[in-house]
Amino acid sequence: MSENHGEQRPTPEHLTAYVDGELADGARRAVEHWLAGRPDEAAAIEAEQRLRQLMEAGAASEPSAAEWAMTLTRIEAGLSAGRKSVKPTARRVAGLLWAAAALAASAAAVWLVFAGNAPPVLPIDKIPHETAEVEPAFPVLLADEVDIMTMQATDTTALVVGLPPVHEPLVLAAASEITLDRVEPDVDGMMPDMRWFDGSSPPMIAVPLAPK
Amino acid sequence: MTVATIPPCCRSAPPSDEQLLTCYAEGRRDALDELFRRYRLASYRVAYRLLGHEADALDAVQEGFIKALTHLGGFQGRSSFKTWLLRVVSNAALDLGRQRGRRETLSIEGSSPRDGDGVQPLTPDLTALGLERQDLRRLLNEALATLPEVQRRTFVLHTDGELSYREVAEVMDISIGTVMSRLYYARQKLRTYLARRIQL
Repeated sequence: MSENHGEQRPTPEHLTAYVDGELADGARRAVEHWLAGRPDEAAAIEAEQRLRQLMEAGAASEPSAAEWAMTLTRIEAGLSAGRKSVKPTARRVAGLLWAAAALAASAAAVWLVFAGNAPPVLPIDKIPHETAEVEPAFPVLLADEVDIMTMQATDTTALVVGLPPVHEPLVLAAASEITLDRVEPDVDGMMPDMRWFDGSSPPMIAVPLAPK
Repeated sequence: MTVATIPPCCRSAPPSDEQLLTCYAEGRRDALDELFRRYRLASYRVAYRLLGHEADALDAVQEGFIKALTHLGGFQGRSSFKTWLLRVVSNAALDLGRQRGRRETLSIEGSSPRDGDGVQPLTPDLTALGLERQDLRRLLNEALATLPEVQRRTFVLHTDGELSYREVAEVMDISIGTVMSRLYYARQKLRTYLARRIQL
């Protein structure tokens, strides 16, 4: 950054870089020149520079060696559990489904009634080779056990609807094959913003409810 | 004679993060130990500033490391491992804060000083301010709580995570100019808040 500010106020970006000592010589001198005739502004800048020292002085104390060791042990346990529950080859496929399941579970309790015949479920030995390594027991997680790392725009066209536990095979259905019976608010009272787009038919994965 | 075999990925000293991640993918536990040792403190400081609570911050560090290493596919070497990790840790901390309620945790802060806190000398400036370290932490947490979440996260990643403007921009998917602008307004608000309580 190298601007001659003269009487013009430096931009927030320049003042930030000045406080952090990141300005090149020319730009720094320009800011200093501007500050020279403005004691209030100069005092504010100095206070922000002292704020850095204050943040350092008030930084969190480092946890003890025992706390670090305990945390590392838990991390190793968590990573180990993750490896056991999902095979690496299945992780990419399952990850999208988990994310979608979390979306649905946290948004609302949705009860579904099939309007027509559900599409046939593929026997396990007819599943294409690419997905054959997915573990037979589909993992169903609660919403607070899932963290959506990233979501592409294309992900939003797939929706998993239902509630764990799942006692029957998952079925694929088109939106037109599903009737929404009612929508209930989540535990925090939040109601999902339901939108149905004309002309589109997003694929859905219906999760059969546990038998009552 | 016993000959120890060191995988090629970890022969250089010290190994790079990329080499450690390769070793970790090959099942080397010591690679995880080293990655944890390198970034645990920065992760903890970021999480602590976002949560205002020490035990919760450790939980966020734990969650962050697990998620960052489980979802390495999202990292793909586009940024440094540190920026990827702090992105995940700060997300975990904010999620945890939302779940547990930041105001509740802030009220707990300061009630359980760590060993040595009482005797750790303050900097001369702080002594002049008449602040104990615990009081200062509480005050800073209160000040940070007044910032909008995006400003707080930007400020904390830069100040406590020691990330450059560019790295913060990568973490938050924003421009460098936006990072600098957020830092400017965050500092302005923090200064105003603190100036009413202490002589800055």
